[in-house]
Amino acid sequence: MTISLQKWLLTHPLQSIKFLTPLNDEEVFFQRVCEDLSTIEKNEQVVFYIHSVKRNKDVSLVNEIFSAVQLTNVIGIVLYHPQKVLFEQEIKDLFTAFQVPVIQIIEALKKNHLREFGLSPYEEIARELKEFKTEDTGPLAQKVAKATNLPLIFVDPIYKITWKQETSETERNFAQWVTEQRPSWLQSFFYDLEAFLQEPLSWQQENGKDIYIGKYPIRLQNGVREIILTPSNPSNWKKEWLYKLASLISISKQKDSEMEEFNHKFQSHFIYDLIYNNFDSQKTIIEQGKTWGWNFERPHHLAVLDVGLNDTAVSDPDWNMELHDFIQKNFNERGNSFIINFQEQLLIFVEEKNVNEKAVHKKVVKNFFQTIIRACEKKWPEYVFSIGIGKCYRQTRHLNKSFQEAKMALQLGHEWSKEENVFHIEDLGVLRLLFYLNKDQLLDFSNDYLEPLLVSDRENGTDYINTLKYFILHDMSIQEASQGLFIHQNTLRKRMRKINELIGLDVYDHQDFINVSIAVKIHSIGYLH
Amino acid sequence: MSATQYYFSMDTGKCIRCKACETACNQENSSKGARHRRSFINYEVEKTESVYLSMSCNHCANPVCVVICPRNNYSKKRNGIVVHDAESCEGCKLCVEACPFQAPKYNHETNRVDKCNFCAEKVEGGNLPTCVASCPTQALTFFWTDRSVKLNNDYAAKIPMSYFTKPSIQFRSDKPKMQFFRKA
Repeated sequence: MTISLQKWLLTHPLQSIKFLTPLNDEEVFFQRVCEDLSTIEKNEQVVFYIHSVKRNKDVSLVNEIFSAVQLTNVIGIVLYHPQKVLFEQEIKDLFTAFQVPVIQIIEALKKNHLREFGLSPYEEIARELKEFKTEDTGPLAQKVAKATNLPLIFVDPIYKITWKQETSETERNFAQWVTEQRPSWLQSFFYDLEAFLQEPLSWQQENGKDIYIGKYPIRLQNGVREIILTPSNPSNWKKEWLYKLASLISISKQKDSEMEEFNHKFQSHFIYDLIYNNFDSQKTIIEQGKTWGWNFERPHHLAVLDVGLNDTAVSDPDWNMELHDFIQKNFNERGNSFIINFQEQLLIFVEEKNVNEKAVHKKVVKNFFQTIIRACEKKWPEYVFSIGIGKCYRQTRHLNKSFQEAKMALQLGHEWSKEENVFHIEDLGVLRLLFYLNKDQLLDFSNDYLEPLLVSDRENGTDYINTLKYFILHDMSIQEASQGLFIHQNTLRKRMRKINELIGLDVYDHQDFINVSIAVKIHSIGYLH
Repeated sequence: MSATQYYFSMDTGKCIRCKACETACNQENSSKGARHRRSFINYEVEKTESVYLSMSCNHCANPVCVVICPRNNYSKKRNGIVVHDAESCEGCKLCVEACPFQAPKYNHETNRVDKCNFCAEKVEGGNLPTCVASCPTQALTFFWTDRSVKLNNDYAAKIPMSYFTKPSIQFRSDKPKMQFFRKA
């Protein structure tokens, strides 16, 4: 019975193999694994197995390998050594010259390997997955690229390169070609990886020769997540290696994706319960927060980020995730902030180190959020970003209040704040107070002052309430208010005279101005949608 | 996690002012000194048109009661129902003042606040809230949907409610209002 060395190696966990020299392009076959060179029979092809512990230490390892590679009966050498074996490049080149691959394994061969040449494929998968982690993808791809002597590139569903290595000229050129092809692939196969897989692709060389592009999909439950590209039509054994790599990554990612989904769900429930006060105690919040490395023993500022202009973009989960990742990546230098995608809004939590210097820290936090907004506006100039910030409570159990305050600051800030895009609840002044008072009394107060103006606005389409709003917002400045309303100063003066006549007050008088401005603010709350 | 929420739905065309909802709710939740959790109001939309509204807590998306309670006794469950922990209530009445719908009711006997909880236990067990179950014309109903769904609210512009808190209530008028007259 003969078996190919390349296929036999497939039955070993990829993590435990290290290729000291590349495998031969052509498959090589052997009859048995041999531990003693003297037992080799004439016309017998063997794999020479060296056990680093059991071997004869009188002869150096290099010499032992060297004497073996010279034998025509030896088609490959498998060296078991649990640690990394370092050979000088010259020695490796020498071994390579004999075209007898030298492979190190970090797990000793089992008896059945020696006798039966490998395990059942099911047992093999179980062993393989036992140790496999998604983080191992890069090193494993590197290993397979070396074993098969093929340049490999991983692309995501939008054909962006997610993994490559550029150790040779061919690899560099191939990576460049993939980057150049991306726009046309996006045009023809936008998020249609199945069609992309069916399409025969070739890479045209300078000499006019076409190289076939091999595609190996990494599939997940919801479709193809990544594709391994290689510029050749590899022989069967190489294809098997590439499919093995793709399958291993698929299974591993599937497992990770399920875990990620579960974790995401758990996190969403935690955040919901946190900001809607569903926890029984502060202790539970602190304990559960530790799951994601959040320190809820310390007080936190909570801000709500809102994105305007384009509704479709806000509800697009991919875009939200992109924004989330951008902020997380660029603004985590404080080390104590984190961002959560929650119900089509982004919540930003910033840990407060010192609660004593309240005013200073409010300013610091506002500056921090302003930096975020500036960076977002620079990256996505077509959107309008704004942030509402709630009060920082000593107990994180009160983050539910902070959340509602942040939303309140965001909504009222747009209407009444002079700040452009970062609104702190504590800057809302009397507006915040109005929220907590009896609505009937407030509306009575407001109507006492504004009734004639409301009637006029309703019946004649005058814009008195809005005019007053701008007049208040710009601190009685006719010049600024008229600019805000896009009307001439004299028009505004005339309107203000009319308003004074209708309400029987003088809005230029300090006392009357305060009363009217409160009345207008109450009115604006009552009719906010 | 999607923002799903229980909503009350009031069809003003079907309401016959029988006040069965208010009575049933009171019967279910009555205690000494307790005020009605649900009350019935008549609102004049225009000079010639008035609507009857059966109102209780609207389980707002931005509940003011949650912000104002100094003891942090209010919480919003995952199904959107705003519940109040009366056990720890000090009776400061801040929520009573702040709620635009006067949903929290102060009980002078217990010195605590009480409010509609959407009959949470019944609803979670697959049953109807008492007020909904008692409505003979199905004018008062309830449903469960994602918050992002834009609801058809016939009276939103006419009834000057505080929409800032985003109340979870829908007003409809599927058919002309009915009035019942006694035979002379």
